[in-house]
Amino acid sequence: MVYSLSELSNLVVDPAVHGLSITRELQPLGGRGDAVSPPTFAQAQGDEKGPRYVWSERRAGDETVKTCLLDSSASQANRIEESLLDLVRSRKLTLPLHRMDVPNIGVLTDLELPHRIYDAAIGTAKLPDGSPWRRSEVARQVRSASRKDASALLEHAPLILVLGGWDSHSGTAANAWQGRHEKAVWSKIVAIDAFKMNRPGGRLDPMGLPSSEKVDLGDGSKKLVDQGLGVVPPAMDKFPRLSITMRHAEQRSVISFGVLRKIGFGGDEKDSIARTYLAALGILGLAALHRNGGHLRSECDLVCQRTDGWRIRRDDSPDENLSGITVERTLEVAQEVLDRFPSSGLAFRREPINLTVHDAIVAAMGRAES
Amino acid sequence: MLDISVRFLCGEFVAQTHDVGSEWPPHPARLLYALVAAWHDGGCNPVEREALHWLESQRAPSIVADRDVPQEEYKAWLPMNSVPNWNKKGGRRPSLPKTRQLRSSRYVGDVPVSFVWDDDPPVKYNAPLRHLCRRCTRLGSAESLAAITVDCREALHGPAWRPSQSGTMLRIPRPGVVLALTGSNAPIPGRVLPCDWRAYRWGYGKQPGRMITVALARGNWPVERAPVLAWQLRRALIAVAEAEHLPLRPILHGHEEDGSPLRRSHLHFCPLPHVGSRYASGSVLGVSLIVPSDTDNDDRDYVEHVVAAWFARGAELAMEGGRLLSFAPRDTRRTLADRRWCRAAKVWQTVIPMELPRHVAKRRKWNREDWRRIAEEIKVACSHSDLSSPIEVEASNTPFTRGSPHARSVRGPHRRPIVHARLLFPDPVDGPVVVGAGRHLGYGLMEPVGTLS
Repeated sequence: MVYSLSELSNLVVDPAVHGLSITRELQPLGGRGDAVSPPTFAQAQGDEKGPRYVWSERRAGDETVKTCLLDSSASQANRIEESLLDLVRSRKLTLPLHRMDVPNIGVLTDLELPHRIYDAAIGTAKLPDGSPWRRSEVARQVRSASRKDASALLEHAPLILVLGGWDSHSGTAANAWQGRHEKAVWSKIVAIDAFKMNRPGGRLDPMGLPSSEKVDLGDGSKKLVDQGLGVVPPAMDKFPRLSITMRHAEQRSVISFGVLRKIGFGGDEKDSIARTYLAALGILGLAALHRNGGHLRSECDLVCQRTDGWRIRRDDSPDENLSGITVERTLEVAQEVLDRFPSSGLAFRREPINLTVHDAIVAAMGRAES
Repeated sequence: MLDISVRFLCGEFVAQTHDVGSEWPPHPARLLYALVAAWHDGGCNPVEREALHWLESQRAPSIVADRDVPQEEYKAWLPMNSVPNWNKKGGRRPSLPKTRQLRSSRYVGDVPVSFVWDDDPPVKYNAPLRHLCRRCTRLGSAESLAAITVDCREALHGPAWRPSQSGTMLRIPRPGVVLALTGSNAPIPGRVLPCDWRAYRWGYGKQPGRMITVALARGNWPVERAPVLAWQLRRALIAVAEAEHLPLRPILHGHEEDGSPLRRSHLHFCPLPHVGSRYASGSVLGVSLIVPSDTDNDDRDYVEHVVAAWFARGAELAMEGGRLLSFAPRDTRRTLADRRWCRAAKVWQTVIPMELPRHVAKRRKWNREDWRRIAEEIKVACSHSDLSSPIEVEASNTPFTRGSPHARSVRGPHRRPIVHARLLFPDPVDGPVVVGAGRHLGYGLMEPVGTLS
């Protein structure tokens, strides 16, 4: 089956189709066996000191292999947003955005904020006329959106319906309705058969300064090493830096049509078109992620070596392949669906809403810098 | 058997049980809760609700899933809606806890987890159950995207999590759960949804069969002739069924319509001897009719009906030599209690010698090679009884327990050699355990040895 608008529409409405998935085998940019740096987490595990990686095990056939998390599902969702934002900036994609001008940082959009449109930075921001955003009509519509009628979110923040979101600061009682939308798209990268590699850290000073000598550089007499100067001989325990080597990395990405079918938009035709658009947007996000997402962090660049392709996960029949999913093709399909919005009565905001950061937050940023 | 399979699209199962931590295997109650949520999402169809009521009234299902799945865990800050802060206006807001919360996931890959119930649903519930499962998009947290399908299966073989008398406690549905979740507007206190708890154990063993035990009230019978007693009881029940004009079902007589041996398990007639204790007499104190676990309710009812009819006709057996044995319903003697024969254990030993599946060398005295072959035949016999392969096998003509007969002293309708066996299984096995070719007449009745630890 080849990816097209008609095929996608049929898949989304078919209750026997659970969704799409793809598994990609990745290798380091430096070649098989090269070291990569996983993400670190603050809490130490057991006796391990310093930053902690997320280790686990997995069965691969008859053997049990050690795995290490390379990119969590939350991080992958953030990268999807970054990839889509790149397409917006290059004018290949239109999304309803909230843009905030942040002093000394620049413009931030809701795709760059941790909680998307539910982020407190937007909740406390002001409109150009000085009124608070949370009292605006857009905010009221977004807060009142529910799974039965999510038209407002489709109009102002469709990625909430694709990547999930939780309006955790709204409501005055634990049982009151809060915007809670489960994700329809999920992706994760895990290193398979991973081994830890210790790497020494140190500092070579070209001026040859002794690190233990105390010198007053205007902030009291302190050791040179405490002021960023001097020689620190490379050692395993001074600046513990870990990396891993692995057999390969596995990236598994999924989009669930069942989640989208639970969301209503005010009528059969509207539901069909809106869900198809959200599916197209999710697939576009994943395609863009796969194309752009090789660089995870410093010393962690991955390249796709092999993939089993996009598979249609059906009820009661073997999985079928869906070919032709590229960023360009998925952009076309998403635009085709979007073009049907007006005739079906669905609204979609194309102009960004400009906001200014709350004064108290600006002041807090200033204090943090100083 | 109803089979509801869950394939995790992301390859991971993410769920935690309150006060237990990372959950494995997925609890059956969680599946029912997900189906109730799907019922609500689908517009509250009344037929689907009936299907849910039927499902919650079933016995605890078996769960086809790996014994243990490694977990990946990390700690993260998560707003907790269940631990609210009171704000100045008296309302409650979700609070950020003082410590990071543990998030764990288990990688299951593309292998589905199946929940298997003994019975098939009524035909009218097939479509509603299928629709409910299709609308379910996850099992556990939002990270556990799932594809849930409904199927039927003939039997459950191989390793699985099965209800047991002890083991890992899992939440299971019970009647009233669906009403509690759907019928009342009152919030459910705390975050613990209504359920029952049931012990599960992972293993190859089938579900424990049901024991219908009758006590020997008058007369004595030696354990050396136990298979003869079993044979006579079988004949007596068949005669009663014929006299009552009841159909003669294969569950009772153990043959196909063409007279060939029945390919599936049928009733085991197991004399229960007084063995093991210091004062063991070696006499048969009663007989247990062991109904295999995969027997449907209809056949179970049939067996109970035949036994009741036999009691109505006096419950007597005329044995050879003019001896008359009278039976009564089970009494309180320990030998006749289910727990005596059903307690889970890793070590099991025969109290009545087992009949080997095949002949070994016909010698007055077996040599070492013969005993090695016997040990292999015993392992084969275990597989015929749906037991996992024992990791140690000890075979002997002499009994392992006081009161049990020497193998060469047992008289009965066996045609192949009989030996005593002591087996060590890799995991605790639930009883009753009866192995070997003559198990339907009590050959190979085993007792659990040692404590559960």
